[in-house]
Amino acid sequence: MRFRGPRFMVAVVSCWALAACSGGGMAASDLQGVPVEDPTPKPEFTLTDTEGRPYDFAEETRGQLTLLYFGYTHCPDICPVHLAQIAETFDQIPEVASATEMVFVTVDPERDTPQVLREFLDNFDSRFVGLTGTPAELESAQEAVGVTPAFKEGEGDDYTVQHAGQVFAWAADGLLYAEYPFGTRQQTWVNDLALLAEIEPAAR
Amino acid sequence: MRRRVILVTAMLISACGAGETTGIAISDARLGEPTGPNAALYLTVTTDAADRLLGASTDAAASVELHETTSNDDGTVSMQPAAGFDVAPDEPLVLEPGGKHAMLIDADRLARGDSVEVVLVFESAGEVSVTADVVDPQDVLGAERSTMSPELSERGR
Repeated sequence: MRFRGPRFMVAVVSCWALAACSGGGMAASDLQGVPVEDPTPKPEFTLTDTEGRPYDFAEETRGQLTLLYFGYTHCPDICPVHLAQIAETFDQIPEVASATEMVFVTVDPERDTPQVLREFLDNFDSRFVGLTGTPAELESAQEAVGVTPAFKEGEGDDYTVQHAGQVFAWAADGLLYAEYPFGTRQQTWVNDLALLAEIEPAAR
Repeated sequence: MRRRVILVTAMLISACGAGETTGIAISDARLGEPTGPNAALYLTVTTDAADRLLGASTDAAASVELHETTSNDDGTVSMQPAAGFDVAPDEPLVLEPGGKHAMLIDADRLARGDSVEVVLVFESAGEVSVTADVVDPQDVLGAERSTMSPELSERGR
């Protein structure tokens, strides 16, 4: 028993040291996404979810690791890749998935009805939240996040939509830590979501 | 004279439908599993002689369009139709996510593990058939797309 003392103390001190670092002092330098220099609070906007209910983004996601992406279901090139990567990360680290809200906001409300949006997201993970709104509501949501609002290109049924290409990540403390542009690798998602999930919610 | 022999040979062989002898070679053909009405086809084209990809067709979709996604300085991405993509001996044509791609419009509900026959149309080489594997969208990113390729091909089966 006597010999356990010093080693035990070292272990305890190490734990304290680690704990001291884990609140806000998470090794942000280990994030592989594009870091945000000055973490900013979550934007405020209210849209409508796929069940037709109002969804107050800041309120609904409070205290949760939150991912946000603007896209559209007719987009075959980059939107599905982002979403499939996040779904794969959820599969790989289920404890992170259950503490994370993934929010997909359509920038094509004309074609993306709530039902279309739901079916699209269910291809990836049925936990993903889908939001839509009027063109004006969607534009102000994008402005609140600080991205260039999306707009239609081309005519007829075949139009495409130019939209923000990155996924945003707020930790549970409500601060934006990193952005994930298109081309982000699967390993980056796994690494970063695990790290971001360690950040504790801010005291209220 | 020599050129004529090659040309005739090429014509004969292409008449038999053997794409690899047109001087065009296609590799890494893959299609993200459709999650909406459209699906994107990615592949790499190498060639012995300068040529241009003009379009494509497949039974698995209503139509196929060539598109190019570009990333803009403000962080947005946009996708534009393209009339064709050039390919040269020293400049392979790479169709890849976030760049040039062929978009299947109103694609069938294909599932990962399926494969799709696509006919590519080149200005000089004519029609070249290729078989594309349908893969999980997370797995379309190309060469360094994953460190776990072997098991990925098993997913969803």
